[in-house]
Amino acid sequence: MKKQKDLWMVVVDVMWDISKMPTRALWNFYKTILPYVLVFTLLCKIVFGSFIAFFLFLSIGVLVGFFAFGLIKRQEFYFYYNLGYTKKKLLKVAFLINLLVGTPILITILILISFIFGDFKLI
Amino acid sequence: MLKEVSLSIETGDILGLFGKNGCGKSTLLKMMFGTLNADYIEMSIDGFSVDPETVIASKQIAYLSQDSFLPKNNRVRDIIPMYFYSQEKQDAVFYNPGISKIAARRINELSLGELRYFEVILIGNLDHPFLFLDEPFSMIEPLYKDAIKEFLETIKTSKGIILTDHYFDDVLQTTTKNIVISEGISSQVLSKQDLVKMNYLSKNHI
Repeated sequence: MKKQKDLWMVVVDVMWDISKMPTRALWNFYKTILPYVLVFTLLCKIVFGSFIAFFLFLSIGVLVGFFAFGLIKRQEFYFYYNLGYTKKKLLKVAFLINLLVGTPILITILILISFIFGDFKLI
Repeated sequence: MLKEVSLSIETGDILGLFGKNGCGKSTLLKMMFGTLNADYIEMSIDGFSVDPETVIASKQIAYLSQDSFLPKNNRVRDIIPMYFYSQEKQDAVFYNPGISKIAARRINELSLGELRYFEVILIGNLDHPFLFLDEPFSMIEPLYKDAIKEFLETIKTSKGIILTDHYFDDVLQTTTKNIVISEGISSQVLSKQDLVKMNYLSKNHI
């Protein structure tokens, strides 16, 4: 019960943070890491199948995208630092956007793949 | 690398930071900005102690890094609203003579001078009370150097600015006070001769 409350408080906290931020920059950050997250997810789909790929997308997908961003575009972190976004804050917000926006995008892509290759099974 | 460095700036100050390559100028700025850990650092703003780890979130310092930090594939006109909520601020940047002519271009299409100028204008217009500039004049054409100097002169009335660059003449023309870091220790610089004494410049430069 306590765990559920804590999670709820974290979500409220992040939503409150977002409401005070210029969201265009945050959306830009998510757009930048999304391709890395999707490539990771599609590789996972090939190796582990759709269900595990979907689970990994939701759980560690953003972390992988964040890590790739740090490797390839490390300097661009300063773009967000100047707006007051620390790495921790960016990660929290990207995770939330991934949950709300990335999930429908991934499902659409997986459905498209199923139309083309005919082997789509979400579960 | 840095042993005993001490500096202070007030609103209206532009502090020049000199030192040879590798002496720790950028390291010092990053430590104050909170992106690099220091063994020991003590900072205060208006008499209140500040933990560098809180500097980014509290928007105390805007930082121009040595390398460009702007997203390469975005257009100039799309970046401006990412940085500013208010239409007034957006217009101030967008209608700046040096910016309006490059507004439709992508960041990776800008010249080094255009890029540096845009970066300085962008972070200089933020409301942060302090501005750190790491090599704003390096490798850029004189026209943009002058434009940056002019802009810094305008905004210094509401900010404290720290500036480091190897283009010492440009720095000395812009700053109100200067220090040099040598062997990890900072010393005050009152004239070009002091830079010679501290082994930063050779006698030929005077």
